[in-house]
Amino acid sequence: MKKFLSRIVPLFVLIFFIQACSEDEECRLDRYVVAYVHFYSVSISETGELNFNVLTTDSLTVYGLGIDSLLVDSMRVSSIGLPLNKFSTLSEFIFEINGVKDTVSIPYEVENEFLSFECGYLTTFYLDSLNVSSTNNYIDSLRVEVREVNTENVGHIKIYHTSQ
Amino acid sequence: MKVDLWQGFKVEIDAFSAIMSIADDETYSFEGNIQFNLKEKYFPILEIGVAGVNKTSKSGFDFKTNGLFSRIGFDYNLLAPNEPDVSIRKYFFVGARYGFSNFSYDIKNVTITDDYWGGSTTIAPMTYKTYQHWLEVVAGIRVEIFKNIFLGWNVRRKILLGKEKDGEITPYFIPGIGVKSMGNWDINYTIGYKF
Repeated sequence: MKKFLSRIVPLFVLIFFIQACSEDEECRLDRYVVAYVHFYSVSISETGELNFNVLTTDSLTVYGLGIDSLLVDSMRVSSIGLPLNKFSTLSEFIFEINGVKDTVSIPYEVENEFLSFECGYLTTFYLDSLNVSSTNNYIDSLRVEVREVNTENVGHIKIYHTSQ
Repeated sequence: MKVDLWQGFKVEIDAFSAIMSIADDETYSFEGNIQFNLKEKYFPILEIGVAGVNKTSKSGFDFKTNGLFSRIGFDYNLLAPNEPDVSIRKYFFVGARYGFSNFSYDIKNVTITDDYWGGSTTIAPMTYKTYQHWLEVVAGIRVEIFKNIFLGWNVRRKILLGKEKDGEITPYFIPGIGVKSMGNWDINYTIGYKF
């Protein structure tokens, strides 16, 4: 019996050790999903060719239409990530670029996919490429480069500004 | 020493997983096996069990699964065959298993929130079906403590097979393996009877 006990005691020690380790329930996947917008300036060379250059704003302020919280405030940037509304199929953002305001409208479809116990659901957006639009105060045009908005950091939308 | 091919068979239950099931109010696993003794060297083995989990995640949703699992394989005794009249038979073995489980899991009360635009919604309950299979490498001992009654220890390393399909993630809990994040080591403490 003594021999049996000497065998069973380490067993219980082991059980509690394993129990202590089993509380690990952390999501290790990236779940940050935003639509990345990159700014470009367009200039026409003397020979009539179009030149595209990365545009860094002197001051960029962006917020969702009807939302008080600013996504960026007077920043010098050349790109920004926009969080799309998961409970709508249209997100509108106010862009104030170097003091000039534009409204950017982004329509899309929403898909929720179960990832895992630890991570829950992940939302993926599919941009309605043809209907992404903006007012044209500072922004001249925009174009959807990548339709699917997931955890990948790629340039989904290009915004063009024609420099003098 | 000449040993006959047929040396009887043994039925074992795993006390370790049973005790773990009592200690843990979220997961359970019960298993047993039948093994055949050939020449005191080779032990073809069939392990069968049932396991499940009923757990609420930190983010507040319910996860539930129950399923049967099986493993087939063999053990190879590294010690010399026990003499027929020896009082305490001992085995030190290494072995391999192929395990599989066909099961489904339920997910309820999953909430999606939008941190920037505000709002939240609860998704309808879902059931996912899946098949998982894996390989195991086993090493352990078995000792006869009373006539025909055996106690044994073994440790095993489990290797999940099969690549995750697109959009399909390894489930949190797999019957026969347990909680994924606990790593791929397992232990059995077996009590057996030889027929």
